[in-house]
Amino acid sequence: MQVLRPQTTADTLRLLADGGEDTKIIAGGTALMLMMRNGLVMPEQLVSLDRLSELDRVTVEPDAVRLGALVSLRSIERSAELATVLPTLSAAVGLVANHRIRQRATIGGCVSEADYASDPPAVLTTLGCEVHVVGIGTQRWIPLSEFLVDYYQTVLQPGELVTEVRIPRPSPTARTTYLKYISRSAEDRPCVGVAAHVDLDSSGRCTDVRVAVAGATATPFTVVAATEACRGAKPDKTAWDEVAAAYSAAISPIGDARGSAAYRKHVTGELVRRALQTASTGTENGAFRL
Amino acid sequence: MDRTDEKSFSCVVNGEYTVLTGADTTPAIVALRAHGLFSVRETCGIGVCGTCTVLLDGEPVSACILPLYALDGRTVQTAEGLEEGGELSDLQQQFIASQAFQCSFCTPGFLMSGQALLDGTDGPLDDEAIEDGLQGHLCRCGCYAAIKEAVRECSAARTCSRAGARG
Repeated sequence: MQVLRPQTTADTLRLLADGGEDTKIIAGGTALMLMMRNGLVMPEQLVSLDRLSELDRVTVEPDAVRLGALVSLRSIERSAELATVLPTLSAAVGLVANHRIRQRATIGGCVSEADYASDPPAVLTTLGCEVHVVGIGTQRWIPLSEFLVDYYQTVLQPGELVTEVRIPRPSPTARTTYLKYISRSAEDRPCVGVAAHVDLDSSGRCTDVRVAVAGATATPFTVVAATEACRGAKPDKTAWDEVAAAYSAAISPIGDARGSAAYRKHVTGELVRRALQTASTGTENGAFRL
Repeated sequence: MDRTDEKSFSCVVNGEYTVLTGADTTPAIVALRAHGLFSVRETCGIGVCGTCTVLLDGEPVSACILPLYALDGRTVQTAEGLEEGGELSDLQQQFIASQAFQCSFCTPGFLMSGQALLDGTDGPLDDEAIEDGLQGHLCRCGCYAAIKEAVRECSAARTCSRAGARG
């Protein structure tokens, strides 16, 4: 087994195309090294992105933030600019694992691994994140909600690479929050996490409500009909109770060491209510560990 | 491991030009220990416990899941590099003064994260900053309070530069 370390995206794509299905991409290695050490994956060849400095860029544009695939979670968390522009993402990223992992883990790896027990994908889903996927002679932007398809599975085809993610700037009147409920140690993955986005019109009625649940299902879980139904409603307990009930009823959570399926189903309803309450009444956007 | 996978990787370890050998994805901890750096200790092997913490270009990382090729051309510091000429660093001395260990297995990891925290900040550190900097270190001997005290005392005195950086 060898690791190839190309210096440009073009070279990377060529190596991926030549390598075939037993070639895997490695960035920070926080997921892949764990899997290899435990014998879960045994790729014949790895293509490392560590020399692709072109992918280690944060670009703040007037209407969106673009994060290169190689941008580390630690640098997202530490960026004063991102804390201002995307405060909930910045804070939620700071709740992932521990700082040693965040130093190595990258945003491209985070979305490409498609780990269900991860915080950022749910937050990114509520923010309308898109993923840039390139291959030789091809490139496409895919909404994260379509990019993630199942446990550890994405729409990425062999030979394709995630080069960046694009996150639209939230509306100036929107409030966002992420509640991370952990059932074991402080640095644990989420038992259930809930990301919420609430935008109101000038009369104080809901215009855009979004909720995504992390850690409980294969991919961030949404019930779009329930949040769409809030349009025009007052952002009060009645509205949030309905959304919470819809999420709790519709979700079919996984049962694992962090909580049983039945427990997670109950917690989902409670957290959806609290997250919407926090987003609609709180004074600060952010992420909170419960 | 197939012997043909063996490669050499040049890096600066504790201030000295060093060549480490192993396969590309050999965990860095294996190569560092083979180099005699036994302060780098493996417990969980999954990046959770912090006993294998080393500084890669000054930032704490878990050496158990760090592929060896990631050290190529980089700077690595382990607890062995904290002292100079047989003199312990101020943080190490404060660990002794605060009795911040029992069995000491976790101590090198705590020292590395503690030193990185001190290196990256100015002035006295509050509890929140210390908790943040020492996050992800699991000590089963129950010395958390003493370890935090050691870092707090050091930050208040702010003489905690590494021995080598003092002169």
